[in-house]
Amino acid sequence: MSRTSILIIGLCAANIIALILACGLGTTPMEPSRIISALIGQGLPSDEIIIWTIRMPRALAASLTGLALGASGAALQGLLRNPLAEPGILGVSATGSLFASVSIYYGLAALSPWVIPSAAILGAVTATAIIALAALKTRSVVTLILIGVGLSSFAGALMSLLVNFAPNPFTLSDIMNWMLGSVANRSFADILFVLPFMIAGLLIIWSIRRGLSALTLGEDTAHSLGLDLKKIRWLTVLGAGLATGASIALAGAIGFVGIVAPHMIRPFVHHDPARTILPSALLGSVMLVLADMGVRLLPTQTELKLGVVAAIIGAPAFIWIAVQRSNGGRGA
Amino acid sequence: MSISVENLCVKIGNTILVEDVSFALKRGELVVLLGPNGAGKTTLLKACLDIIPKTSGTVTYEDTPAADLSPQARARAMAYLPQIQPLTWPNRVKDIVALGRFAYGANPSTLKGEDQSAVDHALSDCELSHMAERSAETLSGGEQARLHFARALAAQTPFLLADEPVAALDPHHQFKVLGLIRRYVDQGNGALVILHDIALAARYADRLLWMKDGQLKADGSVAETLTVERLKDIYNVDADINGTRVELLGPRG
Repeated sequence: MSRTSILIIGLCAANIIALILACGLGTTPMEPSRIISALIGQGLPSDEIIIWTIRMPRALAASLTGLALGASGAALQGLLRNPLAEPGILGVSATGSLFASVSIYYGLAALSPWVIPSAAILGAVTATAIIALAALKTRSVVTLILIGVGLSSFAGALMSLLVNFAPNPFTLSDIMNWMLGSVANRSFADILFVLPFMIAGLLIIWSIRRGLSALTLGEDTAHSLGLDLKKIRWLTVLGAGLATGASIALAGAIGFVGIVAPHMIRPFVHHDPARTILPSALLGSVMLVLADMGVRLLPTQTELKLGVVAAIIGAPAFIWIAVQRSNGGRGA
Repeated sequence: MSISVENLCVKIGNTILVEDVSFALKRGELVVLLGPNGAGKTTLLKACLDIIPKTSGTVTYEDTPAADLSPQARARAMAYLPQIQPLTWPNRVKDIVALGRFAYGANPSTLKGEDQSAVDHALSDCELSHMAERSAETLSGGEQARLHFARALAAQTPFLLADEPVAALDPHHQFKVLGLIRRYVDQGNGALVILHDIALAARYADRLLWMKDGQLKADGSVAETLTVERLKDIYNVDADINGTRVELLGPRG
């Protein structure tokens, strides 16, 4: 069995364990046997309600968000050929949550449950498309990342404007939730709304994995190998945009998972972009389920937001990866 | 079987990079493209491969215009060896060679049958089998040149277009890489190779193409086209020529 297969099996097992542990956590602690009985419909009715309506949807929401961000990060890094490319850094997450917030601010969200997910996805795809268009004009990835940082700051500024002018505390609190990122109180209905977009995005990313490997040799050589460069660019944009957008619709803006997960996976899969995608998605999922457990375990007065914890862990990791790269002489 | 280029022009804005170039490359032929910096050699190669769009003219593979070939069909007809660039990721040697099978739908992680044997042959022809598992980052310059050539070989194309494959290599490795290209041609394939070393070109080429200012100035055998006058005209240098031996004496004027 190859190293990649062993890694994938290990990560699947870690995901299952993390999900079960997350279900055991809460004001009514449950040991694994009780959780499993409740999961398979053999437990106490009260346990089943707690697990199926509260804990499992929350844990699954964290898991799916991590899955989408891990895969999107790996795909964008393959396309832009840089380990620092990531939905958060490139402004995709911020633009997605800005669009979602605008729909909340103007009360559009009340019109239909589809409004917020659609707005978040539209924002994410728009930002990814801007980055991909900029990628056509410039070969410097540093420039691209700076454009992403600009995009992110601009979306952040507009979000602050919305917060500033929020008509009432409820709108303010809703917008803050999108900015900070959280999976608290998610239901299966919330998950089902975004699932089709997420699956579509992940399938697109999976379908282009071979092309991302070919890009290792540079665009000219990849073209000579028979890769359609235009097609892979817009498919990556669409795939990463849909998956990230769906994750924002579910959990708001959560950064750095897309950068840390692929970075940890790469040495185990010989740095092949195609083989990085699935394990990165699975690791992203484990990371967010565990981080969300941390959020629930920490004895703070107000519950911490998942996005805040992800950023506190992820931002130093980003700096570390950037420094490591410049030390290795392969400027970012 | 051949690639024929007719009246090829490449213009970017108002600048003419390649002007009205026509030539043919047949199987069993090693053609070396010579010319000073900025002559349009790389542009010509890239236009043949459709990496840079042509302004006018045609590139025909067999009897089909290359523009009508699907990206996969083109990739199975012509392999491209660009000037060596740093790799994006420190991939494994055998994974990079496996990318040569991209146009056949091969997946480097699950190679089998013909794809696997093409990769194995390319690795052993380039004496890389023993380092197949190594990270490409740990290879020396000469080994990297062989690695990229192995990737092109694995594609099993009838034609190879190579851009300065021996630049930055020591003399021993220059001979080694050109020897590999010579062997590829002797097996019935065709190669168009850009070189800067006139002595090496004279030694290995079946035919020389001379370019300057975007135009093809001469096309013929080494004996016909390698002259003192030509070197003056193309490179602005004085030289002594004795058969296929060239001694550059210095710049003119």
